Amino acid sequence: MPSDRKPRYLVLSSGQVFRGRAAGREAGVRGEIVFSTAMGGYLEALSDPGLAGRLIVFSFPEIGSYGFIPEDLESERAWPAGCVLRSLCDTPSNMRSTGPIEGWLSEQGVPVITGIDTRALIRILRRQSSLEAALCDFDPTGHSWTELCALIPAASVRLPEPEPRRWAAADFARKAPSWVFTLRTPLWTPERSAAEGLSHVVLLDYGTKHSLVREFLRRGVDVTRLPASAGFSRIEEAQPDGIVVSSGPGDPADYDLTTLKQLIAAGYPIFGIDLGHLLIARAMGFATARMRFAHRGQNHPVRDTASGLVRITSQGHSHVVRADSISSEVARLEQIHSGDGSCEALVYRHAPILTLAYHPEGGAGPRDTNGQIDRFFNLMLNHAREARHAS
Amino acid sequence: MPRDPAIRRVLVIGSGPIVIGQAAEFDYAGTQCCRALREEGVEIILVNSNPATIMTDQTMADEIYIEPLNIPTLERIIRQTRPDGVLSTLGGQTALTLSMQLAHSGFLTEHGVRLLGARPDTIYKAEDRRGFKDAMAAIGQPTIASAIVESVADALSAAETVCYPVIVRPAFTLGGSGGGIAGDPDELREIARNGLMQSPIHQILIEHCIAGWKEIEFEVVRDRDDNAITVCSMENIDPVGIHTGDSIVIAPSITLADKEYQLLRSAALSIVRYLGVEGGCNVQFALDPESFDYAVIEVNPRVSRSSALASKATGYPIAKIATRIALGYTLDEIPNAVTGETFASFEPTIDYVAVKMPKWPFDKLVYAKKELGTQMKATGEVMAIADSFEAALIKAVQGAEIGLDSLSLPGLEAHSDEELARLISVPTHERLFCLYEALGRGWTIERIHALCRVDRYFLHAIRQLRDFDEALASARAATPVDSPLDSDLYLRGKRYGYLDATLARLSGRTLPPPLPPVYKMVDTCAAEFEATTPYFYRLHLDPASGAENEALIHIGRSRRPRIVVLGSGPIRIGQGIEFDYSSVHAVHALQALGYEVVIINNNPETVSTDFDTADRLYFEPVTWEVVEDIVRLEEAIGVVVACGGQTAIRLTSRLAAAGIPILGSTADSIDMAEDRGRFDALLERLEIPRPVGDTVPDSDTEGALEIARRIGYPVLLRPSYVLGGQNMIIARDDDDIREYLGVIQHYARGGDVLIDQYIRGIELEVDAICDGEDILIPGFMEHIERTGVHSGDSIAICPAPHVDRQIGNLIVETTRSLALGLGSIGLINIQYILHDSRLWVIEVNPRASRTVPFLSKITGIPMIDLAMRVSTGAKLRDLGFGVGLAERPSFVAVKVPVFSYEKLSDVDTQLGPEMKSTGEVMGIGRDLDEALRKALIAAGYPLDRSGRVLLSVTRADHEEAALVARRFHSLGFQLVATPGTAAAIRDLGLPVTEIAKRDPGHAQDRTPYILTELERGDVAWLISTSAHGRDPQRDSVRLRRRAVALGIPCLTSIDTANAVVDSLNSHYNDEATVLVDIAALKQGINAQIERGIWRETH
Repeated sequence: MPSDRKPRYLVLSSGQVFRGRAAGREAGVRGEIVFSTAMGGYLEALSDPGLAGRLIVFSFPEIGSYGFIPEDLESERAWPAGCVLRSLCDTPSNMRSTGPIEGWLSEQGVPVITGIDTRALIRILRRQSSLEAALCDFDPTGHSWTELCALIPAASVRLPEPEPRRWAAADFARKAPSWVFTLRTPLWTPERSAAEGLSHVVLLDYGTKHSLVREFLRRGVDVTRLPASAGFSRIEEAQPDGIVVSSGPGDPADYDLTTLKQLIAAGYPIFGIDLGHLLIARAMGFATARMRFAHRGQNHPVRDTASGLVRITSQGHSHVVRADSISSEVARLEQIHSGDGSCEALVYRHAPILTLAYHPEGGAGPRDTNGQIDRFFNLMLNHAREARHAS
Repeated sequence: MPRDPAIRRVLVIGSGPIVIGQAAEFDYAGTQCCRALREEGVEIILVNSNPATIMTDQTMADEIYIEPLNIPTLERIIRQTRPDGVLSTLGGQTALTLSMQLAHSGFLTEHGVRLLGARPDTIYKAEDRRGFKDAMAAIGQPTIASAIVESVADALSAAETVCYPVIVRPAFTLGGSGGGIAGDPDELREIARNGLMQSPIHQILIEHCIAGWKEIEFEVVRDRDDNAITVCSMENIDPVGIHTGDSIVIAPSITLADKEYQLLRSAALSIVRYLGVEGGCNVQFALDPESFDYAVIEVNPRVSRSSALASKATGYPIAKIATRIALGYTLDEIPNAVTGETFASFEPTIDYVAVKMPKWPFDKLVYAKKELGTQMKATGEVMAIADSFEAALIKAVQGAEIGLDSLSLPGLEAHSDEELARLISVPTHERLFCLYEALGRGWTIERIHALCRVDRYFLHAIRQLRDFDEALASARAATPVDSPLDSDLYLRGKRYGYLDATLARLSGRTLPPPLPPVYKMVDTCAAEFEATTPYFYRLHLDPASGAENEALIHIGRSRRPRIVVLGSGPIRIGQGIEFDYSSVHAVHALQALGYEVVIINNNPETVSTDFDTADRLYFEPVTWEVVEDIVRLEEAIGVVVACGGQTAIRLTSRLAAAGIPILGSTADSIDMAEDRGRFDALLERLEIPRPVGDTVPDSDTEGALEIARRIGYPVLLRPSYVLGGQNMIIARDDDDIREYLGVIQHYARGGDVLIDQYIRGIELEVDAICDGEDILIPGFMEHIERTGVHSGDSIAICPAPHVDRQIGNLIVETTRSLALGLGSIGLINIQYILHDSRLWVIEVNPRASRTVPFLSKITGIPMIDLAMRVSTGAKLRDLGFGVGLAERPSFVAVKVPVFSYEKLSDVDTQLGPEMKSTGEVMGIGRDLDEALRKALIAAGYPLDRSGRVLLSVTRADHEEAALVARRFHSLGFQLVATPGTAAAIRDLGLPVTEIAKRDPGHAQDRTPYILTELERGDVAWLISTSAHGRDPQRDSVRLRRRAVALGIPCLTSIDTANAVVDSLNSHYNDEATVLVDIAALKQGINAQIERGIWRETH
């Protein structure tokens, strides 16, 4: 709602200026502008490292209605360079809320602009595959985009190197956030992991969300997080049952693939999510491309090409594995987006590798495809059995 | 999987008359269903007893039966029409229950008919209390501790295990009829007895009460390949304890974090998958606001009121998709008509909020018990779309037609704090306004939350509005005195959805230059895809924020002249689905004439607000500001007010003043009909008689006597206001007037009493179309009940049995001179009294009336179409339906009103001058007896030919009641009557058991007491009239209410009673009536009988 807040401006590199009101930290930041059509899950989105350095537009007109809930964060901090809203709720209500989200956003250094016709903005954005934008507290009218670029610094899209860390499944039951216990028991139980001798995965962290880690912990395996730069030998030393390649920000073409290629060659079971899916595809020789229309939302239908079954997924990517580059000798295009037909899941033929363009862990969003994680456990199990058999 | 080619002919079962809990949403669903079937080339056989529906239109289906919705009729229709499948899930609970019965009995299998949409085991698991509990237990979904019982004694013992407070829910009832919350055994005894009675299978659920939990609904769609999506979540502002139909609801849910949301969403999907629903399904949850505990409250494996709301709130057409799924398609094969790019498997996402507000009938039925609970009481609802809960709520209030444009309800300030607290914790329809009042008194959010458990989010929002109103009020003191309202405050007000007029009134200031609104599209995808669907809502944004008006893009593509049709708002008593029928027909007629048509309406249940009805839909309250704005935006060449009932008509003078052309009768013509003085002058000039009348303050007994003596007895007396203790009465002498005014003065309302000459005659109703030169009258309708009963509550017959050629000519001539005299163009509705071959005018409405769909259907004359044609300049003579009186049909049609008394405690069921019916049914037959029988059966009268008839009538009715009694007696009924009535019966030499009117109170008096007699079980009919009704404390009212509770048909007019006896007397039965295909009426009934017999025997 309009208020006594100071004016703030959103400028698109294509020239449009939107005047709104300021919230959060003072503004003076520039970055790629993307939008999400999700109706809920703003905390998860804001704490998703995949949004690092971007300006995020939420299509839902009121953000913050259930407040700030620390345990729902998907990482330790907020990542977007700025946040573009119709309105920000300052009187939230939820049993777990510790207060309005604005305080947290300010503390995290995220500037917010409110009062924007976000729908008009998204109608502009959806016609462009990529657009830069800036948030500033001075009236930018009359300045060219080049001038503004000189005045307003670009946000960093690079994530800090994650600290190596090991989470123990045994601790999980004690330390997990309360909502974890609302999740339906996975098909793959901790008991089963114990019985089958699966105990440990390495998470190659390009900017993961906590939810993905929890999915492994609640199935009874420890998770060792290593930065992508850790190198093959360090991962090998950890003796994992499988490798999880996480989601993360940016263009997959900008990442080094050496370690991944080594892991693939070594025959590890690998599970790739979002950026991980794209990186593995590139490591396997497939091409990726920026999508004309990015997928950011919680309502994306994905169809299994064999069974025809459709499941709703949570997505947040702007790149895709080019279908024409997928060699059917190497991988099977198992799932496609039922809207635009783009690649959503690849099952590799000669390696225990399953990769998904979407987020089966939800966080935030539907968990209809959570069984894909169980499927990876089966891959790990088969691999382990074969390895035992071989030895 | 593509559609099943074996399904070529489908029977669609409608939901029957509009009653509380089952309203226009099923016409919307049925219409969508028919359209989808048509697009697939499937032949449609439609059955519905309700003529006021779009779905029963000639264009909607191949064969249309407006017949009673019962098993014998459906079996006959199926035998005769040989469908491949029956669609069970689009006609509400009525159709679902009937389909299930047809399936259970083996009839469908025997006749090779498939049940489409829901399998019997799905229906069983969702609908049967035990089946439901077992199913939820099987998939680990929590439910509330409960027990199913079939007696009061078992209920009492079950409650001990389940723990008080308990909720009583009867099995298989509409809108939770007969349920309630019991805090102790005494309350339970009463509620359980009532609940058992209401349940068709005499079964109730005793359930632990979780009042105060959040109530969350999900609409789910699943196909036979097990693909399933959630269309929409909805959060009830009123927590568990108030029926969702009586709750204010927001879509999407707003106080749930992703974790709670996904918890419930996943649960909804697994429930729908386990039940094997193929189509739409509604799942209701209760969620503990303090933990992740939840419980599944209810599952409706069919299209419902909530699915209509979800469809309108998202733009995702659930009924249409459900129909395609029933034909075998999967979600991934069904294109999303909104985007044209995506498929039905895309889960909708929205970039606004929608708020639904119920419309209650308590303004009409002032004695109805207004407390809200598990029994739904609302007749209709409105929806408002905006970008905040506050704005959507304000827009909903503006559109609810309750005389408010903000949350400030005058009168509440008079309540003490204790009273206010009670109104908040024991909610009525006014709770929202009580919350606002309490916040204004400085009560804390926590204090209020403790009283009502309404989530703090909503309380904060109401406080924002209260704070804003206070800021407006303090703007009164701003200086200089004549400066306009501060522009920031104005922008804030517009962001909150306030109308300019409200802002000006509350601030006492002029307004700054008006802020142009923008219109945003409802597109199912939050702008992610280019959408083409012309479905818009109105919003105010700071112009600097990038505000874009998307409607302009659509309007820019328009190449045809544009016309705006005003809708009729929420369904309420007196303004029902009939007006939506007219609005939709007006749209179609004008489109056919080459216009681009725009509709403005805010009722989510209706066909008119389906996005593919008009060229553009503006989902907005029909207020002056909105209408003017849209007319200007569209550069419309005219506005149709004639089809939107009073909602639209009342804007006429403002439209005229603004120079906006009105299609059809002008504002002046409408005013002439409504202004008593102008109308009397017109009648005088035309020499048309009307009953003489005058008004007098209700305190002036002497004045009333003088007027009555001047007019001459008998006279009709009625208060000019609805509130009060009295019905219309017929006064025969001075004593009657003294008594009446004595009673009315007791209520000291300080209003007027209308005193009119009472002409006890036959009431006739005429709808005509006038082109300024000629008129066309499709037919005359005659009311069975004489003067004094509201025309909407009367049984109407067409053609009128008591109108001969001479009278007919008189009616045609009178109607012609009235229509021409008023200068009316288009439709005009006139009510007459016929007495001694003379005609009096009672009322004229120069607009589409309640009877338009009924008459259009039986005469085959497209009345709205013709009205639109003449309104745009055509002449009746050129339109092919002739002028004057249309040819008398060779059959008889009867319209019988249907009431929702069992949903509305304490409402007197006696027919009177105020309309009480919520819907209607039609019967069509070769003669009056047959048509009447069918209509009475369709309306739910059992027409049993044995048992006792209990009579207790007012003095004036003694004689006629005795004559009716004689007719019942000759049919073999035993007569029981209260002393006065009994004496009159004995005078005719008939045996009668006399019973006491009042509880004798002491044991030695052996006279049976009427209420005890009523409960004995074998009373087939109660005939009860009284001079003074309404007050629920009166014996006569209590008697009639008891009959409602016991399900005993109660006749409150001697005329209705005579009609019933006629029906009982006739030789017709369920098997021997003719089934009439309305779509083939032109062939005549006899041809159809032959065809039917041929089909049934081959």
